[in-house]
Amino acid sequence: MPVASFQSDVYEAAVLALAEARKPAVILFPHSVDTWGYAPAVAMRGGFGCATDVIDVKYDGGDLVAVRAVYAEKLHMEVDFPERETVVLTVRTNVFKPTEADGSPAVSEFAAPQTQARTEHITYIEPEQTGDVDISQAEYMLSVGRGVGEEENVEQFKELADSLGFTLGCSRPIADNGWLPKSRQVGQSGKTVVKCKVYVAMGISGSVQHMAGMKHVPSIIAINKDAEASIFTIAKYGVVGDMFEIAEELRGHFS
Amino acid sequence: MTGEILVAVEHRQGALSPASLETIAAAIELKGDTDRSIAVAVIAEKPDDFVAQVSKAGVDE
Amino acid sequence: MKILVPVKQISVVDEDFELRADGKDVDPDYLDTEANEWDDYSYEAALEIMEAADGDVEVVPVTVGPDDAEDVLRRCLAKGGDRGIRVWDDDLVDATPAAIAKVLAKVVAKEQPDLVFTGTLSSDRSFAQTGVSLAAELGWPHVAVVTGIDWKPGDPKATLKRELEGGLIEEVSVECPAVLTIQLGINTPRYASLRGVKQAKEKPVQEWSLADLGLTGAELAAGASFRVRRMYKPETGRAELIEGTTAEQAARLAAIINELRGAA
Ligand SMILES: Cc1cc2nc3c(=O)[nH]c(=O)nc-3n(C[C@H](O)[C@H](O)[C@H](O)COP(=O)(O)OP(=O)(O)OC[C@H]3O[C@@H](n4cnc5c(N)ncnc54)[C@H](O)[C@@H]3O)c2cc1C
Repeated sequence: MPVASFQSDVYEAAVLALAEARKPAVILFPHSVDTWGYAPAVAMRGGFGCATDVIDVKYDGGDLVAVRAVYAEKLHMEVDFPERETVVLTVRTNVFKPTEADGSPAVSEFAAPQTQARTEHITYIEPEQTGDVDISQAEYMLSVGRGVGEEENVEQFKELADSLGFTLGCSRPIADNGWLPKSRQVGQSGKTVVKCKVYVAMGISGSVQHMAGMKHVPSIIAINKDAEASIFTIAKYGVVGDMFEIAEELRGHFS
Repeated sequence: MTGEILVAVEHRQGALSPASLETIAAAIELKGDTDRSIAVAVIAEKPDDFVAQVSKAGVDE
Repeated sequence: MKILVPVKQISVVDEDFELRADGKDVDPDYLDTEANEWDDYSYEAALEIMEAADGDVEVVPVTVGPDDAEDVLRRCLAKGGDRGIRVWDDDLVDATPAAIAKVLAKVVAKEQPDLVFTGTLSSDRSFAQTGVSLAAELGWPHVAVVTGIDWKPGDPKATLKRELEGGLIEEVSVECPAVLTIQLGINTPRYASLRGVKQAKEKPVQEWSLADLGLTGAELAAGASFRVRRMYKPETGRAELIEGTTAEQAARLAAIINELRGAA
């Protein structure tokens, strides 16, 4: 069975066979869409401990301890895995910095077990390239999130962005609702704003998936009525307040 | 208990995902000064294409 | 033909909160409850198939949760479906995804659905683990983060779209029965009508305990995904907050924006 593309059955069987042969203490996966689709199954079938979306991992004495975020990133939860010989962890992206240094590890081949995959790859569909702007190239952005409330309200933020000379972006719910084209969506399943220098986030809570596309921006300005919104943990400047009132006042400064 | 740290990396459309290298970094950090070894597993039809990319300092096998 | 849709009541923390005495979770007094956003999409996906099949498909929402979690079932039933299932037991209070998956697997064994649609994740703890763990427990094929479904009653396979990173979509097929985890944006969830809300109050909700499913708390605890050591408010970076009246805040923001973009 060729495994040119991801197939959960094949991947699960391969990792389980490796685990059986090598009895690892920990199996680490990236926390990505593919592993969402098989790491928990490996844990379940192998009888392993499991924690997903881990942001820190260490040994405390002999105990493996993992940390993950809960409740909209507002709290952290520290977990361990008593009596588990093997533990599956999926590691959040953009947390650990890859090493540049190359090494020369031993290389061995391991024949993956023959597995009949019950899923079949048909094709990949690239995201639509609408004639709209390419936000990945924008240097200055103003993005709106669910706080914008209604479709009719989007236009005034488009005008505000224009008057600032900023490119309008959005969080996922705005694109899912069709209020702005998908090409304007910032985040894990949208675009990463690689060139962005200033990012104004209005009515965006700061989910991991949104932050995946903009966390790196040097100057983030957040406007949110929830003082505890996680967006404030990565912003340089913040205003706790109503995005409409602030926008109204801002307009006077850029006309 | 000195079981190894196994890292399962991923690839799509012929390219190793950047998150894979981050996961190897997490393994190296976890290994710290323990005597555990790190093994990286590439599940692929032609894994050879990826071996060089995952051969990072600190990886044992 | 039947589609089982596990749904969840999630917890949202208040702006100010305290931890439980054991430090392992937030004190329930400081938690509000909501329906999980992803489940609106999974339930809608099931209803759409039911409606297209013209009476051939039954949709059954199921939740693992305490008494007040019945709300999330009623909320579903207000949109469609004739009955719901709620499983609860005090031993499930701190249940991990593996335990929930084992409970749901027993429900599947009783109900014998053709498909199970879970949400991709629930936004309180964000494990993204339950649906795929359930499939593993059942030995069923599964596909995660689904944004398109093409399936009619009797089809041996469903053709799906899976959403990958960066907006890339993969089209795949999967053998049925299968567990699918459904992603935001797959459809436009409907709102319940007032009439629907009223009717939902009369619809039956079966209640099962662990014993009814042939499970014990001890068995589930032994198979827990992990053990919580503690919960805490992390040390994080913090934006410099701009204070003052709205006018003052906006003036300061305008100055900052002008400075950052290098304008006069
Ligand atoms: C696989 C996967 C991929 C995903 N990919 C992406 C992605 O690419 N991009 C993305 O954005 N999301 C993505 N998501 C969704 C993500 O999990 C969140 O659901 C989403 O980012 C939330 O958007 P939001 O912040 O606009 O909405 P919410 O989380 O609902 O936040 C709205 C915020 O607005 C504030 N607010 C409300 N009214 C006002 C007001 N009048 N003034 C000021 N503030 C106000 C509220 O306090 C709140 O903080 C993905 C999820 C999954 C599972």
